[in-house]
Amino acid sequence: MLGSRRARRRLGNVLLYVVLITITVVMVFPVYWTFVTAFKFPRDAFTYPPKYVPYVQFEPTLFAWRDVGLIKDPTQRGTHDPTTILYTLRNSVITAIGSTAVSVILGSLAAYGLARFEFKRWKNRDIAFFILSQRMLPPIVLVIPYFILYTRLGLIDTWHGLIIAHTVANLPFVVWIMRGFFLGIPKELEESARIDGCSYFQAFRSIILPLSLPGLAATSAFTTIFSWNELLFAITLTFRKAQTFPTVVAGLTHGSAALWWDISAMLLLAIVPVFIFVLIFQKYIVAGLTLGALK
Amino acid sequence: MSSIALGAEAPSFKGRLGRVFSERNAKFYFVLPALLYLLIIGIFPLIFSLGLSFLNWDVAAQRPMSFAGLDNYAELFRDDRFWRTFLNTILFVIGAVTLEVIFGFGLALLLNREIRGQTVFRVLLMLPMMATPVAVGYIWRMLYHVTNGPINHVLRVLHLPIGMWLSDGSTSLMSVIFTDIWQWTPFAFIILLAGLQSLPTEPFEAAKVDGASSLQTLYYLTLPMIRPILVIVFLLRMVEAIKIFDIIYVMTAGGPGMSTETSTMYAKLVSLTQFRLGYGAAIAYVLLILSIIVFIILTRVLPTEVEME
Repeated sequence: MLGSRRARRRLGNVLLYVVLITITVVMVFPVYWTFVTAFKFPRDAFTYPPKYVPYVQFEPTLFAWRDVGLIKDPTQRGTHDPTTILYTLRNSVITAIGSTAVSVILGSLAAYGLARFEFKRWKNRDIAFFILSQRMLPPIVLVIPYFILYTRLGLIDTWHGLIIAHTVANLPFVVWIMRGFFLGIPKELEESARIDGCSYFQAFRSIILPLSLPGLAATSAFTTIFSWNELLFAITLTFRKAQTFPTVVAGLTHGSAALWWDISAMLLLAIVPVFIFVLIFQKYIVAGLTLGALK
Repeated sequence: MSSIALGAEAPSFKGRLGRVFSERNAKFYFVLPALLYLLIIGIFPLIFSLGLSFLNWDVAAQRPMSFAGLDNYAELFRDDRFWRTFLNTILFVIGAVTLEVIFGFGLALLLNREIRGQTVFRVLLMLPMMATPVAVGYIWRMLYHVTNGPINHVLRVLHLPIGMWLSDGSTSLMSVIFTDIWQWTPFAFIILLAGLQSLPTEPFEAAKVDGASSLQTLYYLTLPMIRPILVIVFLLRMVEAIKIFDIIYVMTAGGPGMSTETSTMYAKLVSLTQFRLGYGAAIAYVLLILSIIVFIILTRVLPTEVEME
């Protein structure tokens, strides 16, 4: 009898692993497929039956990367313009950094104010709710007036224009996470600094900020990723000078639709930086997500 | 920490020298920049948009703009395409989010124990939600390809019927929903796993001593304790799912026909392609109202801790 219970538990364990591995494969396969397809020749990339294993089913190659223009090869005429790709990647980076900077600075200040001070006329709770409720806004409601206003104000197709738009989405998020973070820091630290004669801002800057670096790292990671990924504002408000990379990816549906090798290479350009970024900031991101959601 | 987190009024600083006066200034300096930013760049355009929805403004037609009152809303009420896209949006949100929470919870339950390679599984399972949505859309567009895509290939190899996925109006919405589920189940999984791991162990040990089966433990013990977090995850995903745009735009652009067109896409089409700005703003506003209603319903009807505080 003892043997059968142990056998049943072992079977249960095996089943568990099988299910877990299957689900993991499902989660990972699409990314694997894209990665592998970016290194195929055209005849291997868009063909039936599809090929999965490099070296066994097809010969890996840098053809797509040359075609896209990222690797210079005079013997191969490229299908895409590398300057567009590099240029839009750079714009994405600039927008991400800019939007992160503005939203983290403004947001942390506001979060600290909401965490530490008492507001008489409108309660903390209401102000916080007002800021956080902005996250509910479907972006399309803002995109239409932004388009009109930006055209009038000459903000169309500018970096600062897009940064301003992204910050509206990022700011509430920063306030949300950082407020929870600040509430977790004991007041005694600032109080002793205040007794020693520091102003509120000095106390904030020299004592609280260094302690908040993990929280700041988490929120910065989120805002950077959001800005990098953002599409709707980008395709509406930019088209050449400030165009970001996702707009290029979205444009691939016209024309290059069957060039799976090129497309995969560009998709990798879009997602791999984020993966690396997340790997580096992994600890902070998970902490930030769970802190914000569980609080 | 939780009592402070529940928004109890923070006691004011009273420095030795009674600097209550400068406290009153300081707190505004901290909060004002962000508030002003959101008021000017967030609320003002929102009101502008509302005003737009009361106007007749077709940039393409050579008529000047005129006040239309509620005409745009009346027209939207009669517009079949509006209702179709509205329904699509609702189907998408409900279909995707409920399954994401269910699957995420299932995954969290599976991993909430001592397994070898837990970290590896966790990292790999998190992969989909870290990918740029535009890219995810395109990846799945390739996967769903009827002749050359891996999905149908695997189905054929297994002698299962293949699907038309994105090419057919009856399966397209489902396919798009599945892609969203693929991308965001990890989100629910991560949060719910953290939640499960933060639950106290004593009740579960007591249950095991009492001889409770796994199913009973799950139903009577785990579910009630994890409910606040389930609600939060549900809420967070709902709010985001209503805004869906990127993956659908790249996978189907709303087609075939209107089978995957959501309200966001229809509003964008009307206002930024057809340039009927007044009507487009009205459609966007209805989506906003839906968003607010969903939010209010979810925070009132579903019992939860005061998560906003």
